[in-house]
Amino acid sequence: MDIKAWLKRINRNRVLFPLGALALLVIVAASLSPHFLTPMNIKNVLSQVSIIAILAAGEACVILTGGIDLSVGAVLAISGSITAVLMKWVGAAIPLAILGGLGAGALAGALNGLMVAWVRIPSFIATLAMMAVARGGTLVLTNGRPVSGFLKSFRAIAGYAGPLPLLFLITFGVYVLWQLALSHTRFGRYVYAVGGNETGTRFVGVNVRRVKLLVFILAGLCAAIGGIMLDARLNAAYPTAGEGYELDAIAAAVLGGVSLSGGVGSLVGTFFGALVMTVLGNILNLLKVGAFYQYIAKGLILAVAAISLSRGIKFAK
Amino acid sequence: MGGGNGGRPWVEMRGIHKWFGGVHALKGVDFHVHRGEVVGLIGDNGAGKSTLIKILSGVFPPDKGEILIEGRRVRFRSPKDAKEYGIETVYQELALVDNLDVPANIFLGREPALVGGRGLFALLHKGRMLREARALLERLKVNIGDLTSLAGELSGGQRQTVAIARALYTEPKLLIMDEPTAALAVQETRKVLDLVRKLRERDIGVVFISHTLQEVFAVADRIVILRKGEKVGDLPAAALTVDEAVKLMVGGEGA
Amino acid sequence: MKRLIAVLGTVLLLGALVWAEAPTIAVFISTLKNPYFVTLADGAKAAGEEFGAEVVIYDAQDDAALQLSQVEDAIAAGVDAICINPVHTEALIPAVEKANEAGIPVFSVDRDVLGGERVCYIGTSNVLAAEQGAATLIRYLALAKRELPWRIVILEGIPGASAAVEREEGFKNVFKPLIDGGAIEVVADLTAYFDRAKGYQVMSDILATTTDIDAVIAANDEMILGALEAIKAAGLKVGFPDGILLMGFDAIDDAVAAVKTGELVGTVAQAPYIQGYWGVEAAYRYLVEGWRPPEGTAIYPPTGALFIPTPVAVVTAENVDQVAQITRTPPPLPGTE
Repeated sequence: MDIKAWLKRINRNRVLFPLGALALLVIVAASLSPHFLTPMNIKNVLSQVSIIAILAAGEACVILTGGIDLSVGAVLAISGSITAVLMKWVGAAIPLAILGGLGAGALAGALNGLMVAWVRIPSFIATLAMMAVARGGTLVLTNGRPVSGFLKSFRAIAGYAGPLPLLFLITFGVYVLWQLALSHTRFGRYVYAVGGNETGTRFVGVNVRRVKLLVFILAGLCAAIGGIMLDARLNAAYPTAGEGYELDAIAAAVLGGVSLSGGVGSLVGTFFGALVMTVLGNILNLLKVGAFYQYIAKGLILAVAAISLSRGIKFAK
Repeated sequence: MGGGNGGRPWVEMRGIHKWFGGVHALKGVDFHVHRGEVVGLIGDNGAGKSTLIKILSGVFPPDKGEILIEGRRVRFRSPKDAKEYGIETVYQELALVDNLDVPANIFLGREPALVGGRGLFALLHKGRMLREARALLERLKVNIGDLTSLAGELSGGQRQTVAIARALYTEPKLLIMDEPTAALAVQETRKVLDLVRKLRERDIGVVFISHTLQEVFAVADRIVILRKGEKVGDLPAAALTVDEAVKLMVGGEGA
Repeated sequence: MKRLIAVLGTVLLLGALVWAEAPTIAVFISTLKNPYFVTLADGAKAAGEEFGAEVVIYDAQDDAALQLSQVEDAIAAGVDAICINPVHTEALIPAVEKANEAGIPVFSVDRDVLGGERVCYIGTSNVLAAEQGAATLIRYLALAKRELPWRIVILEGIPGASAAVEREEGFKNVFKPLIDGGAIEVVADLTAYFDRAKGYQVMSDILATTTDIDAVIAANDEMILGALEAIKAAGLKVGFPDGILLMGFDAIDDAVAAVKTGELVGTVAQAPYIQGYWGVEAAYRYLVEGWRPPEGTAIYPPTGALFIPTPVAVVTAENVDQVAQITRTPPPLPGTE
């Protein structure tokens, strides 16, 4: 009975499929390329997944409430640029510059949240506007030029803690906190409730606006963390950074079992979704598959994954 | 039966008016409910039933008129205010959150916390929610089966039972039920009506709204009829027949 | 002399042993959405076939982070040499450094990386090429005997992209003295992001404000071809001598065709095909024959790399028939004659 309940819960969180897909992909990858399971490549994959995964964490929560955030890529760029500009042009201390970047991300998220929850602009439009504003703001701020060459101590963010990339540990930490908040706090419960039945949730007296505001702020913060991590990884902030990443983040969440109509899915699944996407790119690169065939292969595999996800696991609704 | 006694009603609405833009939705309606009384509220579409109960449950303020509870004037600025006075509502269309389980639905908006009190990031006391949900449903003598089922996995009758249980958790004085049987099969409708009778035994006032007049007559002590924003009838159920009620609802012309 | 032959012989022998299998050369392209880089990739592939190297093309879709990941993956896959056409001059420094750590030689192509060890940079000076294009446009304006001041529109590339910055610099080098002297009036100087649709859009916006325009110069062909359509849609005349004179950059096939029909007065040919070809050729010869940039190879001032310049020509009505020959026939790689 306990095991049954446990299985039911896992099934409900829809993590079995992305986990299975990931396992399958890893097995196939390992058998196709001797380079796949080398320590070096594992480190590469973990570094590579970090940024897309952290964006997906914020995105998944917005989607869980039934919204969407198209601005995460642009917010990544503006937060990364602000941190870079603060360090390089203003000469601010590293922690201060990081705080500046995080603050910008939170502010952009808060504006998204206000537009969606108070002004009642559909999130698709509100965050599309934010995407344009943040991208434009980044170009204005940096004059359209990359800002590069940071201090070693800042670049250490993209370094290693023992055998593991620090970027990965940061992302992993955020995921653990996020998942705990989602499954064990009142906030997390309201995130699911708003996604499942917003009017009903408002009627029992839950402050739905505040929940939405917070979700967007947290998505902005995640994007900002991603921007700062990207700065450290590339040793440069460039104004076109993160273009199109919002789609990758959405895809990772959906592959991870998060339903675009809201209320269903988990961060654990999202994390596996992000890993599936990253490993897929990695193995195609390792197999030296040419660019054009990569597009086709990726498209086909993602389509198959999405189809089996929606067909394979049926939920009462 | 506790209903229809001559004492002071528990809640009383006097001369309630409501306009929506140019539409005069309620034209000075008086309405009251005693404790332990089941009042059937009927009327054609657009008669003002929903508006009246939304005012009573704090969703809208009245544009004119007053609400008294135990003889004292009250003002509801939100459904929360009404709840604090002991008025709970079960809305058919707002029912439950399908993707949450039974305890989560019963406690939505008032989850007990392990730590963190009333804060948004308080840790949920899931064990207590499950225990109390089970106890509550046992008190109502209803069987839901596996409480960890999602609301979306329950039958219509089970869902309605959970929605009522949720409203009863705070031990309200008055329960408003808006079309509680609309989506239900005959068998399940009977269970809901049984539940309404149990509420009367527990001295809870009930406002019961339904399009199916037979149901209203089967369960109500008194019937209030609205037409075009006005009260056109307020009679003990025993003093009225379904045909008479229909005539009052649609208007007096002929037949 | 004997010693030299002996050394060369040993190198060749070792090379033959080590490269019993064909070497793998990874070619990282900034974006294959732009036909210019498709041509570059074609050149790289042609060289791979010519020399018997396995060439793998990676498309970074203009995303520096993605390109870094691709380089990491290629290193993990054990490629033998890397030709990189970086998305950004600075953001790919970590990628070059990672290749350096793994002992894999790096050749930058078309655009250099501002750090890490590159064997050489194979490309053209965007500044010089842009100067040639601007000067050619001036020559045609003079030939057409246009009234002064010449009213021109400049369409810039993606803000911050090094090609955009350098081409802008080249244009300005030629135009600045003429602007100061009152011979040129800049009607508009706007970015159209190297994009054809945006070129159309920006140009039609400009035309909504004025149609009194003598010439348009763009930092790439995509933008000038978009502008061309906008001008035609507005019912204005293009071409030498009495229409609006259009000067493009990159000599992509569509632009060369437009030069043939007289719709464009010219386009600067940077020979991406030769860049790609030379990139793979240099990598292959480096690995197999011990090729190094020859003595006396110049330094590319903006980045400090050893600079192997590929030929530049301005394609005009005068030489358009020889374009294929000019841009698709790689001359011998310096140091191999």
